[in-house]
Amino acid sequence: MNVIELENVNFGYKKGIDILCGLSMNIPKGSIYGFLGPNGAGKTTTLKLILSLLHNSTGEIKILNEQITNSYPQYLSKIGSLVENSSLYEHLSAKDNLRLWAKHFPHVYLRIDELLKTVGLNNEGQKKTSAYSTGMKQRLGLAIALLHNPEILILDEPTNGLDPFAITTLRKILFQLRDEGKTILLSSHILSEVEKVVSHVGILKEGRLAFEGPINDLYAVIQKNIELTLKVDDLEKAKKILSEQYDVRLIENALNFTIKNQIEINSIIKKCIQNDIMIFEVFKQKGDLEKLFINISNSKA
Amino acid sequence: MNIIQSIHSELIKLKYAPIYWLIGFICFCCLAIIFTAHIVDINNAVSLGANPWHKMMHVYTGIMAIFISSPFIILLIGAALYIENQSRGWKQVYTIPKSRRYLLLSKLTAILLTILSGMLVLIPLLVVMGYIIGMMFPEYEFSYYAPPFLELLKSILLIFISLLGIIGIQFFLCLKFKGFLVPASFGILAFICGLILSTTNKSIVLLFPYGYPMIARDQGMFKVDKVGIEDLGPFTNVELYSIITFLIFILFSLIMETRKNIN
Repeated sequence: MNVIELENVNFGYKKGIDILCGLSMNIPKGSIYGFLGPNGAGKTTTLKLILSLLHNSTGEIKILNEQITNSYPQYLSKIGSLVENSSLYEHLSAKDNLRLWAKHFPHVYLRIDELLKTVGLNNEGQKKTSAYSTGMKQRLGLAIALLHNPEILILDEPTNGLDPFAITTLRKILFQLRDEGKTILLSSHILSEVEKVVSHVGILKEGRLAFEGPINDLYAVIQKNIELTLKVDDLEKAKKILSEQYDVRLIENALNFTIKNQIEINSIIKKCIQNDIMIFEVFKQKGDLEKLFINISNSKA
Repeated sequence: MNIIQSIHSELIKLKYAPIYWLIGFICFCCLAIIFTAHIVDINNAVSLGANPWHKMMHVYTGIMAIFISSPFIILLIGAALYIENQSRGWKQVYTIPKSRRYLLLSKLTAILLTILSGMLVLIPLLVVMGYIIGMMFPEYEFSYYAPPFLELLKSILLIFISLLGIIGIQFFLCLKFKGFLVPASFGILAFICGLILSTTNKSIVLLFPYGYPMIARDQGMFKVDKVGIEDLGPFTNVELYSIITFLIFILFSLIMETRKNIN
């Protein structure tokens, strides 16, 4: 079941210039969906459309199987969001910030202390948020988004300004929320970070998705061009043999080359053994999301 | 969630903001002017057998209606909405599962309550000050007469009603322009124009809501007999125009905000 569905959505801030051109995306329940795309691709615009902050789009946006309406956005009670930078009232303390949002939702008042603890701000709750660092503000923004215990969490670049410790904490929180059955839509440009947490990926390019699916499908795409590293006793001999079939490069006492399919690994090993070449190590360079993201971004949508 | 909770949420936002300082400053200014007037003008102010509270009330409502209330409102509404603009809070506010109209009306109600309480808080302070003046200058006979609470309350409510037009316009402007400067500058300029127009004793001021608090009731400061003020039961026509202006601009604000894209 998809909790968020976009079907052929078009939107532009100016007439005739569409940021989103027929965008369709499906976010499965219980997934952590990484929403990727280069700057200006329309990630934040898409999130704002889902949150009804932007109007005048065409196409369908469904949240939990219901088409959204701007006039009475009851569905927003199911969504917690942190879009761009956190919106904090800096003349107030963290507790007051949470307290004022708590007024809008029933029975969430008791969660304030618990959430401050979750985001690691329990000792800073009384401090005015103007004295907070960017990372602390971001964490408080996350606490506000989680305040009403939403089913869906929309986070736009949540790791902005966070130190490595806070990023690790955020990752733990996201996993915990996923385990609770929540769906998380996460946009980010820190691809290595996304790779570690997401179960599904959507790559936005020129206003539509260039790729959408489970992260494993994305890795399967990477598997089609495997970068293989081979460490052997006789590098020259091995290079000569393998060069008949592959474009082999000698890099730091190892041979590097690209194979089309992992089945080929077996025949490469066989070939080496048949030629009395001793193999010390064979490993696949893990194709990272960043490389693929750049490839997809550079390719036609 | 009920409307009370929403209004409470809006009132929490005003906590520690310059708004309460502003109310305190305005109260201090009013009291200082009235106190000074009583001290300086003691020979003319004391009239035997007349209730001194009436004179004090008259001075207070005059100062409030003509000089203090409009700039106070312009600054207060500007500050209240600037909190939201500065914190980029609209994108968070509008993700609350309530219609934008509901959320804006909660905010407006909180602002109206703050303005009204800022004006009403002066009543007990005024009474205390009256007794202090009475102790310093027994010839005023403040302790001999009872303070006219009801009359004072009625005067303040009527001033508040005559201010509604300005409140509506400033609310609209503060939503339209995200900064503090444009609506505040416009408001102060319009207040000065209103002040000038209301001294002309001409009906043209009826077209200018920023002049309404100055002419809605005869404050005895300048002539208003040719303006065309008419009594319409509990209100004058000026107060009615003020209410209409308020409703029109609030409607504009709601329509504008409902259609607005939050960037």
